[in-house]
Parts: sequence; C-alpha cells; structure tokens
Amino acid sequence: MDTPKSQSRFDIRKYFVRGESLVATTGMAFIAILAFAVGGVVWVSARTIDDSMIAQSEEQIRQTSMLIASQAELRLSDGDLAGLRRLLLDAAASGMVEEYEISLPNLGIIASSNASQGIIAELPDSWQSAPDISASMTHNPKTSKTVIIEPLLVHGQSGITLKLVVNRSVQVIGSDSIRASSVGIASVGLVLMLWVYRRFRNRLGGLAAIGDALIAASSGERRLPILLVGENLGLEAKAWNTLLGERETLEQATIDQEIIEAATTGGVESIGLPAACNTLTQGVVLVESDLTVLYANGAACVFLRVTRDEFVDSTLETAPDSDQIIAAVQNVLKNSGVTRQVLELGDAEQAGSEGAVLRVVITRVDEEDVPRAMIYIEDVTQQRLADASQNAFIAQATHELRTPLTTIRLYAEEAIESGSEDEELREKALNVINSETRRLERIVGDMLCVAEIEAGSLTIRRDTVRTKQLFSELEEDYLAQAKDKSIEMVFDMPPKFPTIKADRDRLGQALHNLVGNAVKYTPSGGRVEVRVRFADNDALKFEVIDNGIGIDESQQERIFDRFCRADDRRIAKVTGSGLGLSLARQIARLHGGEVMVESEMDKGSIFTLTIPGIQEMAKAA
Amino acid sequence: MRIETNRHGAVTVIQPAGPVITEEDATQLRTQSFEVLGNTLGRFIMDVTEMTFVDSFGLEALVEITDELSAGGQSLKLCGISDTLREIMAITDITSKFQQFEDVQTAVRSFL
Repeated sequence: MDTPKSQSRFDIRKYFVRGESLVATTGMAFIAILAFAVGGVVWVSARTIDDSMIAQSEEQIRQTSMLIASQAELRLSDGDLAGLRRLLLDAAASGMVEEYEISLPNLGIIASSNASQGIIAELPDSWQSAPDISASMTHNPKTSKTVIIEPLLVHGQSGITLKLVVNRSVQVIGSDSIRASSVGIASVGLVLMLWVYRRFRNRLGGLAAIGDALIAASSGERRLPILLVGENLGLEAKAWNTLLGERETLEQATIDQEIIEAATTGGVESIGLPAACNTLTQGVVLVESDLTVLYANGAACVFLRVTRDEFVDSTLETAPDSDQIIAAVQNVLKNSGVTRQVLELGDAEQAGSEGAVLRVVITRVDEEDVPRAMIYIEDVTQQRLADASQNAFIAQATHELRTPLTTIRLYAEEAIESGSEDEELREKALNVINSETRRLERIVGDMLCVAEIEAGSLTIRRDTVRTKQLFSELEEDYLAQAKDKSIEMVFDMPPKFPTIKADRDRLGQALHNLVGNAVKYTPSGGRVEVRVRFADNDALKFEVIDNGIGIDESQQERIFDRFCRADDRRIAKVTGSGLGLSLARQIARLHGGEVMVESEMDKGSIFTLTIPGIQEMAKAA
Repeated sequence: MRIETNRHGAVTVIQPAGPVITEEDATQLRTQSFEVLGNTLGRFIMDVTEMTFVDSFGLEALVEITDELSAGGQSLKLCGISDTLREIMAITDITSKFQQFEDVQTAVRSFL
C-alpha cells in the first residue's frame, strides 16, 4: 500500500499518459547515450588528431630550426652575414618562421626580422663564449606561437644564439577541420534521432499503452474506461479502442439476448420457473405468431415426441402429427374473437399400448401487443379409458338391473292376477322372484364392493368361517342353474372341512363370481368342475375347471381389470358387468391370496383361488 | 430374471421377478422399461413385489429409468416394495427419486 509520503513523492511518470513514460524515458536515455558516445568519439578523435598534428608540427619546427641553425652556422663560419640574412628572409617569406633573431651576447644582433633593431655590420673576431646556453622550444598556447632557442657554434665558439618564433596554429589547422566535420556529422545524427523519436514516439506510446492495458486485462480488469488508451497515440491505439468497443457492444448484445430469452421463457430464469415447469407432468409450449417455439417443457416434448433441442427455436411444425394443433394455434392467434380452444387428440377406444389421448388447450397470450399462444397438453388416456369403462359399466349395470326387475315385475303381476286361482303358478312366480331378487342382491353387492374398492375403504373381517356350510350353499346355488343350462356340474369336495379365518361374505362373493362365470360362459352340454382342497395349515385352494370357450392368452390378464370383459364376439350376448373377476382377485388379495387363470381357446379354463393359512394370513395382514 | 408386462387400462405394468444382481439383469430391465416408457408416454408402473433383491446394477437401472421419466416431469412409480428394497433405497439415498404405492391398483389410479 502506498504511504502518504510515497504518494506525495515527485513522480515524473504522472505527467505522461499511459505508456508515454516508458517511451519517453527509454527514448531520452537512448539519445543521451548516443549523444555522449558521439561526443566522446569526436573529442577523442579530435584530441588524438591534435596531439598527432602538434607532435608532427613540433618535429617539423625542430627540423626547420635545426636546418636553419646549421645553415646559419655555415654562413657565420664563412662570415657571410649577407647570405645569412637572405637565408632568414627567405625562411620568413616562405612562412617557415614568423620572426627570427641571431644575436651575440653583449655585442649586438647579427640578423633580425625586426627591421627597427640595429644590426652589426661584421662578425667580430672574438666574443664571449656562453657554453651554458642550451637549445629550447617553448610553446605559448594563447598566442599559438612557439619560441625556439638554438645555440650556434661558429669556429667552435659558442655564444651566438638563434631565436625563431614559429606560429604553430597554422600547422594544426587540419585537426580543427576534422573536429568541425565530426561535430557537424554528430549534430546531424542527433537531429535525425530527435526527428525519428518525435516521429515514432506516439506510436510506440500506443503500443506501450496497449501492453499496459493487456496486463491489466490479464489481472481481471474488465472496466472499459480503464482499458481504453489515448486516441492520439496512433493507429494501433485507435484499433485497440475499436476492438474494445466492439467487445463491449457484443457483450451488451449478449446480455440483451439473455434478457429477451429470459423474458420469453418466463422472465424469471433466476428463480427457476422453467426448471419448475419441467417438473410438470403436463406439457407447456409457448409459440410466436409465426409458430416459432419460444419455450417447451420436458413433458411437452415427450407428448409431441420431439427433443427439446430440435424443438425450441424451430417451428411447431417440427412436431410430428401436429396439424390439428397448428390449425388451432393459428385460429386462436388470427381470430381475435377466439382466445381459447380445446382439442382432444387420439381415441380412447383405439388407444393401445402405444396410443394416447391428449387434451390440448390453446390459449392466446397477448404481451405488449405481441400475440403468442400458450399450448397446454395433458395425457388423459387413462381418464378416458376409465370414463369409457365406467359408462359401459353403467350401461351394463342398468341392463343387469333391468332384466331381473322386469322378470320380477312380470311374475309379480302374474301372481297378483291369477295366483289366487293357480297355486302352482303362484309358487313358480314366487320362486322366480326370489331367485331374481338374489341376483339383484349380488349385482348391487358387486357394485357396492367396487365402490368400496375404488374408495379404498374395503376392509376384510376375520370371521370364523365354517367352510362346509359355505360350499354347500355354493353347490346348492349352482347345481340348479347348471341343470337348467344342461351343464354337467361336479363338486369335488375334501373329506374334511376345517374352519378358516376369513371374511365370509366377501369370500362367498369371490367364489360365487368364479363359479358363476364358469356356468355363464360354458355352453350347453359342457362341464364345470369345482375342486376344493385344504392344506395342513388350512390354506384353501379353490379351483373352477370348465371346458368352455376358453380365453385368448392376450386377454388373460386384462379380464381381471375393472369393468373389462374379454374381447370375444362369442360372449357379446352374455350379460355381465365386467366386475366379477376383478372383485374376486381383489378379495383374494385382501386375504393375502390370489386368483390365477390358465386357459386355452376352445378347450376351457382353470381359475384358481388361493387363501393362505392362518399364519400366512397373519403375516400378509 | 423374468419380466412380465401387462396392462391396466392405458397403464402398462412391468413385473420383474427375481433378484437383479447381474449386469445382464439390469440391462434387460433397463431395455424393456425404456421400450415401454417410449411407447406409453410414461404411463408406466413397475411392480417390484417379486423383485427380491437388487444390487448396484439394479439400483443403477432403476435410477436411470426414473431419470429418463423425469425429463417429462414424471418419476418411476414403484409398487409392492419389499422391506429389503426399501432399506436399500434408503441407505443409498435414492428413495426420493421414486413414487411409491402400496399396490398396482393404487399406482394405476394415480394416472387418473
């Protein structure tokens, strides 16, 4: 974390826009190093050249002075002062020396470039020796002049001094040219560098700024104002900003699309309404006016036999066999007078294992003047089958009730009209009335039992049932009926009849239904055998064996359904409620037992009712 | 394992008999159930009265069947569940994935 001190510290970088600091610092450092290097090279070069020139110049001066000194000694030895002076004049005229002077200590000047000085006419014969005078060369940087003192020996005698003044600046004029040229070249280089730097500074700044923005983005920064760079930083910066802008637009478009989708799928994706709709067993589909499917829950896709991926966002026509639904949707959407339409697709009567009856409700949904249709689909196959069975049952029950009632009414009228005169007729009428009344009682009992089973309120009592009496009554009831129908009826009873714990009325009802069915569906001349066996634990096995019409294998389980009768045209004229076997099985199961069937078409059937013994029954309870 | 199929009105009842303890059993149960499920739009019950035991193969098959049904907003309706199977389902924490009924009739009535 920055401390107040560090925050207040002077930071030159804050005066630069993003990336400028880096480029400016790097650029300036580069230029400074370059300038320093160029300056150093030029200085060293010039200094080296200067030193070389000076050394060369000094050498030339030394040689010139030695040459002049030797010539002067020769002239002086010959006493040719005029020749000496011409020599010196020529040297001065040629620029080799600027000034010259040959003097004798205390005797005068022999030759001098200064014309105002008096000179001696002849060289004296002798002069005072000055052996301590030594040759010297002195340079004055201010005047760029070099003074050379050279002792001359004339006839082996010292004392004569040659003084030469040479302007050495003339000698090193070449070094200055090189220095000037180098400085000029360096200056041009610097100017060029500055121009290049100024030319590319912005673009380099742009790249550096983009680099900084990328680093920030990699750290998770997503705010557009932070990631944008200065437009004045060049083409790259503009391109970067354009890309960021497009990304922002795309993200916004995505958000807008999600909002639209959320709105069209219920607008509450976040609270899981679509997920909740998917738990519905009823199908829900939302379609646009052009039949585009905006939403479909899982149940709708199952009912319409489509997958959701291929259905949603495509048209309703994607669903197979959807012509009626499409027509209804178009009717609801285009006809303002119709806001709701109900269809029922499929036929309950023909609904096999793969069929279905679908109830489809199409409702118009107007939202901000945009018409849409909500399709609600419900599988009502089982309801319609139950309705159909119930209607058939009511029709059958009505017929079943009407037949004995009609018989009772007719015999009652006949007994009333002529019973007092004909005792035999009266007795027959009363017997028929009694028999039909008992039949009515059984039918009503079955209906009540069905109602109780439907309501789940059918309970089984645990009476002590004397089985001998139970089967005697059964035998008594059906022997006469079988005889009337010319059916051979055999009761195969065990030698001993134990007492069992069961609901006597319900068990009797189940046994009556089984034996009654056998008699009812066995044609005249047939045979029905009732076989009763008890196990050691008093478990009951009750078999009804007939050689009647038999039951097709495909129907053998269906006949135990409520209100169902086997699909066989041979029994169409035989009255029956379709409840008997269902009730028999339910009653047996309530006792912990079962009713099973084995049958072969045209050969007969065996219905077996089993009731477990007391211990097993207690477990089942 | 033997699997019987019968219909109660528009509802198909599958009755597996015997333990489901091998991969073959589970595959058979799954295949037959999926076939019925696809044909009946989910009007489908499994009577497990005679399914004496299931191991992980069987449980996996049951879960896959109910998951398939859940795509249509339904779940597998089981009836006649033995104490053993109920305990296994409780231990593996999959009880809530299924609807349970006392007997076939009650389960069939749930489609009304």
